Amino acid sequence: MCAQCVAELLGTSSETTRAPLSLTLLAVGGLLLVWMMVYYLGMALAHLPDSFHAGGVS
Amino acid sequence: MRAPGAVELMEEAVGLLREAPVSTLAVYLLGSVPFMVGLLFFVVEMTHSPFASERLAVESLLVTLLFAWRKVWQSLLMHRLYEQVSCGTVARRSIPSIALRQWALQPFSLVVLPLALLVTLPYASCVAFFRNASLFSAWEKEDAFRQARQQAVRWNGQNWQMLGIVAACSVLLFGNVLAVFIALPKLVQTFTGVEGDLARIGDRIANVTTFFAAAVVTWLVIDLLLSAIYVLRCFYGLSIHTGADLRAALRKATQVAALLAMMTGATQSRLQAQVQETVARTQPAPVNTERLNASIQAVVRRPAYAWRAPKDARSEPSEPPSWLRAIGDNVGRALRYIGRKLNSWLGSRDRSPQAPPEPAHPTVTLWIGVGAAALFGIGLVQFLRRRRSLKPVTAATGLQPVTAPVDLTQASVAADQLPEQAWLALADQLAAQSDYRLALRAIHLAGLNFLSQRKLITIQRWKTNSDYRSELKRRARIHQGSLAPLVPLFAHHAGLFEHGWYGVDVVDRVQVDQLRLAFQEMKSYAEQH
Repeated sequence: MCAQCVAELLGTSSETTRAPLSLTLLAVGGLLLVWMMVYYLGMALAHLPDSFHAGGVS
Repeated sequence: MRAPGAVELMEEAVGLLREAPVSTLAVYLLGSVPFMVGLLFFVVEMTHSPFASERLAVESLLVTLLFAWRKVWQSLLMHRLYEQVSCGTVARRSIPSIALRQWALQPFSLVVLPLALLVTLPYASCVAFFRNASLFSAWEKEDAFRQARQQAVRWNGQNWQMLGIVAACSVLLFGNVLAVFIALPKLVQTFTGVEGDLARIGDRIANVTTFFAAAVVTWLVIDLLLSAIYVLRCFYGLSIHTGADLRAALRKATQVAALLAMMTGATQSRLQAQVQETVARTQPAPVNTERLNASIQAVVRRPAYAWRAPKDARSEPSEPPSWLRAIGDNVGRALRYIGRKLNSWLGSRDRSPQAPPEPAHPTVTLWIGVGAAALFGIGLVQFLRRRRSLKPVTAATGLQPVTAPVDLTQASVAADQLPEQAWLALADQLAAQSDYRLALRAIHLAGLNFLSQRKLITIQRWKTNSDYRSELKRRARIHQGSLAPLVPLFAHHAGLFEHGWYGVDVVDRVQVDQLRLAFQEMKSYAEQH
């Protein structure tokens, strides 16, 4: 039995190992993207002038 | 297969959520509530905190982690809803695997969906794609992204209609939630009299934070509904090839049939039991003559029948029994009646035909007697208590000199620690010692004590002058406005005190005299009305 057959039997082909790696990279990138967006949202909120809140919106 | 209509789909989604077990809803709340609360705190912190810039990085990271947390639970929720609608089980990935797929895709919805809304046309399909992906990320044997894409482009018109209806519902729900948030503190104050912090800020409750909180609550409801809707869309979409909807309908029909069979069997057995019971009841029982006669006698003696009988035919002796004997008879009958009732409550009532006859109900005269005795007893107790509370009047010995019994520099001093005159005497004493600031406080406490004696306010250590003013206003309203001018008088009085006590200037004799004058004005007005 050759090495490729063993790898196929064990389900550790190069395609299956690549998928979690790309997913992991995508997940990390996605969460960094969320962090960046929330960060800039918070920065925008922090820069609102106090007069915007002082009298309420009514 | 015909595409289910948008309204039909929404109704089915609502039904699905109503039938969902508590654990499914708990899965949703466990994921969404922390994120929503975290986001709300983040927005409030960033808009109001002077240290927002310092905390921005850490708090935005926390919100990101809560977002990631929510996405995992959203996938689990949709998986559970799918299993519920398909009446079967679907193999699920492990939690890390679900998390990886969700985190790899869902963050990009924050960019893609606004852009799709801008372009407009692909918006519905994009919403469907990201929602579907949450469902298929949990499935073990599916390529989540491919399946999500396939199901997202199906029935596009229905998808648009449904999103339009949901958007309209969201606006209405937001308006309702906002109205509740704004009106609730006032309603609580109206019905309970409790003036909470939210009621005290009045119209300023309509601020950005309240709007955002209402939006968060609205989204919690709408998000759950959308999850159920897209689960149903995927279910019907997949059923075109798999026939899963037919299998689910067959399973439900089988369950209903089994339930009907059980109910029919139960009804038959219950009918048989009822027939047996009726037969047993209609069996002739041996008649006890003595009991029958006693019952007849008891019935004919009732006022409802006695008035019709001729006087001569009555079996009572011509002379009525003595008062004591009548009372004794009635008490005996009442005791037997109470004993019988107790027996019946305790379940030990003798239902055998051989049981002695039941005595008649206590007469009205007995109840009148018992009532009179009770009233007499209550009156006697009240008389004794009042007599005990009366104390011999002693002659007034005049006002005792005040020797600073309280430390006015302490914040914990309350107005009810001394009587009004003692506070005023203390104020005079302190003013004579040129300690005008403490004298100011003593006069103010005298004012509070006076109002408390007049039952216009209730002294509490934690109350501020603003609290007392609100309380006075409320009490004045109860007195139909006759005491309304007392409120500005008290406000003037409190204002003079606060200016001197909390101000930076040194308090002088003039301020003490002014406060004394304000106190006298307030007092004379309250005494006249």
